[in-house]
Amino acid sequence: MIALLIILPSILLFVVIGVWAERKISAFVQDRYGPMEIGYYGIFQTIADLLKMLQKEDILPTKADKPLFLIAPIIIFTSIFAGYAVLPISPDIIGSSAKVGVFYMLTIISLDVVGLLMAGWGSNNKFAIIGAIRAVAQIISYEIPLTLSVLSVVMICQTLDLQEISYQQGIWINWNATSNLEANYLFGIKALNIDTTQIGGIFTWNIFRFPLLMVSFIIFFIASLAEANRAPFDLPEAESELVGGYHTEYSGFRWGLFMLAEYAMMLLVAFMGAILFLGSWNTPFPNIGSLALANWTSGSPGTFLGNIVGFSWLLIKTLLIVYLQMLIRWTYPRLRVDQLMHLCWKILTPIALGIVFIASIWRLMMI
Amino acid sequence: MILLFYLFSFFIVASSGAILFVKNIVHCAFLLMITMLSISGIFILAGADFLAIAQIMIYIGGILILILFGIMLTQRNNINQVPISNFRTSITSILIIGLVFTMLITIIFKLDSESLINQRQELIASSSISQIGFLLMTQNLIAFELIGILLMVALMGAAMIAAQFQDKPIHANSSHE
Repeated sequence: MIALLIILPSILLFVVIGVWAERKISAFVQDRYGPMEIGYYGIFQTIADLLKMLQKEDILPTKADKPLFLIAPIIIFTSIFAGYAVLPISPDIIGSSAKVGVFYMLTIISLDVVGLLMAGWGSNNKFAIIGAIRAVAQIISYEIPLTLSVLSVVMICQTLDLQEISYQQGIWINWNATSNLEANYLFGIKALNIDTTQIGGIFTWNIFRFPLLMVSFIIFFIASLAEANRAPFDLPEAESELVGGYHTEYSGFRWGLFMLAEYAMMLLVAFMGAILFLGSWNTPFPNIGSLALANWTSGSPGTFLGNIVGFSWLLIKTLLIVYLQMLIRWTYPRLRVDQLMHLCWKILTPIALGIVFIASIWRLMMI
Repeated sequence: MILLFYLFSFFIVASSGAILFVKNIVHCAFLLMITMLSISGIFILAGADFLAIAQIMIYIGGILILILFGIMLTQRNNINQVPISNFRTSITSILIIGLVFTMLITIIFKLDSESLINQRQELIASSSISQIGFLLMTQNLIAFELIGILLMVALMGAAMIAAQFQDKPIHANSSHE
């Protein structure tokens, strides 16, 4: 329950700040100032936009398929928001500690495909239906490299529970254990005989436990951009070809729900990237000899400090990934449809498959 | 718990009943989503967490999207008025429904519900996921591998069929029509 009370307001806050940050970053990339008028440095621009948006008329096209048109935005946002249920946001706070965590999350966010098709079909508009079909084709294709890169993490961690994956990547690895103490080794190779269990920090992150996960992380990041329909994969809403894509006909609050879903998706995949690859809520600083940086920069689980510090580390990593997403959006041009499919099926999928295969061998060296 | 069961059951019956009587075929496909989601809800109540998620992934993420694409891309003029019944098919469907109904009724009355409920308590307490993993890799390894090969062959076949059109230039093809 406490996770819901934290996550729902933070998504709304993130959308408000995220839209502003996106406009500012785009402005800086293009050597402009961006919004400057409302509030200091234009910080209240999004709130003004939000107030305008809420007052707009909720237009329902005459020939639209009414039930589908009205329900679609709700399904899209709900399915993405449901993904947050299994997200550990600190050592103790997690919505549901279901054993099938990662699998559930990957599945439930793929439900937004149904919502997109509903929106496209219900709008009864050429641009909307083409946009929706493009979006669905893209999301379904990129689910494969995304799932495979997540699978290589799961093979290294041997669990689908995101909280367990988090615990494994830091100095608190044996916090819940009574017997069967686990140990981390440098690069995950036991033969090297360098025990990093108490060193912690960046050396126990998944990208260090199995260095090829760095490649996996890049694949995950590219695929997550495509899943969130972000540039350079924003073909479904390519404004030069399709006006607004699947949300062409929407206005007012329902359009706002699409925006909310897009930013919630960005945040969710950034959270996932940070949790699966970049050490979750663990500190990046290792214990070096008497310089116990890891102990100083993280409180023990179960305490108030531990939760606050853990949440802060996770948030910093997540927002860095979001920043990268925004920077890429304003740096790279949009891909063509055939280039999009070429990248997915001929480059990302084979590499991800190879890493899954190596991960299964690597796991044997870890124990 | 029992309340949730009746809620999900109600959704299954209501949505699948609606599929039979709604004339708009696209609406039917979307109603199927409610049926599938409710079935996975029942699976969760029965302690089969992995099966529930797999149900969503395969049936909604895969098959339902395929159905929707099929309907949307092969659209006819009167998509809102698809004939839903005729006399010839009704006799066969009544026969099949009767057969399935008698089969289910016999199974339900033969079940020993007492022992099932006791088993269920243990099942819900533990996640099924590691057991499924062990069984797939030990007892049912051959079946698992065979299904994997079958799926791969199907995938390659699909790729072959799709690639056939690439040999000829696409423009020449369309000018024929």
